[in-house]
Amino acid sequence: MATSIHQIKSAEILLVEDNPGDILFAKKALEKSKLSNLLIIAEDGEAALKQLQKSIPDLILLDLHLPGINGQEILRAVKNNPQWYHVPVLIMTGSQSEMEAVRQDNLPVSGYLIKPISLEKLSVALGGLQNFYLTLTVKEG
Amino acid sequence: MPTAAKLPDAEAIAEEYKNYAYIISHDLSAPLRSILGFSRLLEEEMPETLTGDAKLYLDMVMQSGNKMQQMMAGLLTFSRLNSLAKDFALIDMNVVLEECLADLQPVITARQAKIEADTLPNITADKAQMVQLLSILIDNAIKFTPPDRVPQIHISVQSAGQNGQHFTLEDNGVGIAEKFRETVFQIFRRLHTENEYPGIGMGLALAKKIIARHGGEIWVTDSQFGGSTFHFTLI
Repeated sequence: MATSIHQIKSAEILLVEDNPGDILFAKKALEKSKLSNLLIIAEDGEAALKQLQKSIPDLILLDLHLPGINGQEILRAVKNNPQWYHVPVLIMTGSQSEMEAVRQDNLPVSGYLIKPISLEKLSVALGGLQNFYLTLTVKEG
Repeated sequence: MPTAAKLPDAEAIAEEYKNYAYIISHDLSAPLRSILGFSRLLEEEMPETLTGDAKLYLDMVMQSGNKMQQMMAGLLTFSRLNSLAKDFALIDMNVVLEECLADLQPVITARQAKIEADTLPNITADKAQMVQLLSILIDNAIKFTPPDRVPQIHISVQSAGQNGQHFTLEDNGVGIAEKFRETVFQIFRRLHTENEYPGIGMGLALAKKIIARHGGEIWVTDSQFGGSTFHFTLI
């Protein structure tokens, strides 16, 4: 039976970010990407892990520089958990050295965005993931 | 014949460091002042132009600019700990504590904080930096106590033999998880979100630098009251 893509579900996106400006920026980029979504914001690592226990998102937008548990530790937790492993993670960082540290872990990530992130760059990255996500969903349908 | 690259001497490094402090205090803060100044003008003089999301975006510019100003002031304080340092003298730590409590009176009153201290010894130190050190630790202890709890702080001291005096400051605040007990002393390191506990994460870096200048050590453990205990030694 043919199923309309938009009827399947909207994407649940977990944004792990503590900077109010970057949160607003991500919200705007999501609006621009036309990706129908439910955006959940976790402002630190602990809140992100709690949220993941509650609900598994379709995508994680992850800042590396966070208060308390940092983004690298979150990525390790996600990719070492069989229930969370499949969730695509898009890393957002303003620090080259933090990005290199994450790269050395050799964990699968969907992409790296270097801050300052333009609205266009983020919406393009999200658009790419959206296509990938919807393709998967259509196949399942 | 190629010659080996010459290593910079201590004097050159100190000079470069001083230049950084100058850059932070003057060269970087001037354009930032303009960003904030003109943002305020836009808000005050042309509010009618701020339609749609424009007001929100402008608020974000000002919020980020204010934060940067605080961080630059923090870096400047950090870099000046050496350049504005005073000679050591014999000082009474009870007097130092009294000065701190007078400075912190508005915060102490607002939170109805209970602060107790043993009789403190005389030590040889930079008095202004000791006031700064105790102020940072007491202010942090109050700030990082959840709003529904009355902050309780106990300051005590014991002899550490050759290592001088071992001071402890116990609180009943949120505490610091074991994994963060070293990194919490880094510049701009924060363990909580801005909404939970606002700040820039500079206090403990300053405290560590003051203690290092006095040849002591600083570290943190659990407290019997459920919060943190900050320990420091002063010779």
